[in-house]
Amino acid sequence: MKRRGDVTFFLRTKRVPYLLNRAIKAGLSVSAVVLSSDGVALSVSRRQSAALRQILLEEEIDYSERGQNPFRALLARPVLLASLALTMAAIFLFGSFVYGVEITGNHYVNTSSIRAVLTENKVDGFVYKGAIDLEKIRGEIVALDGISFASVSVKGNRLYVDVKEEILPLSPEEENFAPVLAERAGVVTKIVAESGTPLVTVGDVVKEGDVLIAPVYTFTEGEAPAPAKGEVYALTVYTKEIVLPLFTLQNERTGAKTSFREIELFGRKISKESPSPYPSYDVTEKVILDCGFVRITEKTYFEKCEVTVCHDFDLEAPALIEKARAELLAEVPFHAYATGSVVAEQKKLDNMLYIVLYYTVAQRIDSLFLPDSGRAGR
Amino acid sequence: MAYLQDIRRKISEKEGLFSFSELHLINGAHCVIAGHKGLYSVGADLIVIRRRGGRIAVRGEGLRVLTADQSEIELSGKIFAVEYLSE
Repeated sequence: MKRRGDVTFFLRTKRVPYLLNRAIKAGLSVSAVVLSSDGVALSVSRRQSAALRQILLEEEIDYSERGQNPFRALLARPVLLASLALTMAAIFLFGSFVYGVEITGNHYVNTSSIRAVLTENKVDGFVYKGAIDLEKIRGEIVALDGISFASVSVKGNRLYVDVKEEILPLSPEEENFAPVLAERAGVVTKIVAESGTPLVTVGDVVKEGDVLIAPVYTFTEGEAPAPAKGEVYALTVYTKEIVLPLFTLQNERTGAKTSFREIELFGRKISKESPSPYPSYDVTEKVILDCGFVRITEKTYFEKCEVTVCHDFDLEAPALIEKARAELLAEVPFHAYATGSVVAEQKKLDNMLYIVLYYTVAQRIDSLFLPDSGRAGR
Repeated sequence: MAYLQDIRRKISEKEGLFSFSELHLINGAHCVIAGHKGLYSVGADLIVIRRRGGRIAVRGEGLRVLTADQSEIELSGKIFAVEYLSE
């Protein structure tokens, strides 16, 4: 039985059984064997045709072959032919439309404003290529504020818009004739005056608010106003004081407590108000049930009373100092250079402990410096 | 391989399992022969097929070989008789 894609051989030989046996022994599957007066016609699959040719060459048998015409084979498969035709039509159809826009080159001009130009020109979604006037779109994009050049092109199914923006005009620097003041008190270690007249020198002690650089130029004839600019560095001390009294009054829980439950239905309280039975108290609320329309909360009042607490200075001082030290370091700006460690001085008075922490750092103290937001965690 | 061949030979000798040829005749128009040893002669009114220990002769009119491979041969045509011939 001949199958599609088989190759038919016409052999001019009288040794048909021998040849068929030879082909069978070679592992070929022969089909549609038809005897004729001068030979035989048989078919083998296209894959096995080379092996049969080899046998025929070896046996020196005259033959001719007829493979299936590829065009006929295609015609014999109408579904494939129809799908091919459909694919070609789809490629042709989709190739004539633009359905994607890419906008590049804009940094401060809004993409939406360029897209608005495209929308006005009906380039939105699925657009026929012939209906797009690229030159008109280009002109309208160039007319937008901030755009000096635009290139609009269609590549494949996408519309590419590449823009070049205008260079922003530089804003003239505003002159500031305010003096440079000291933001913190300290001992000046370095002055870098870019403009103006410095009024302090290295080693001077300055207080907060002192003028460091005056906004003037001094000549022999007099003075002329000039913007005050520069950097002033100084050694400055951060301090923190702690006072711990020997006795303190503290409110502490006695252990007595009373609980009430409050019920809310659709956000409306239906239970009575439950005031505290204690004059001094702590209150906690705990939700027991919340299922949308019903909400039950438990309110607990803890009785408190004032207790006089006697502090042990030797026991509590290290923890207090450590806490104060961390707070002090958090106050110091990130740009400051430490010149030593935190020094703690403590003094016991009659009924209190007085602790002072010092931390000396070198930092910029001029008012022009914008301190960073970060703090040093030293 | 030699071992397998020995086994085959032993089984063939004792049981005759691998020496049989099978013939299906369908409505006197189709004939499928399995276990053949090749074709002996091919003609429009007689096709002789070799088998182990003999031949099978298919007589008829307009006989032709539909397919032929190592395992089986399929014939078609108007089949009048099938003869088993001993060597």
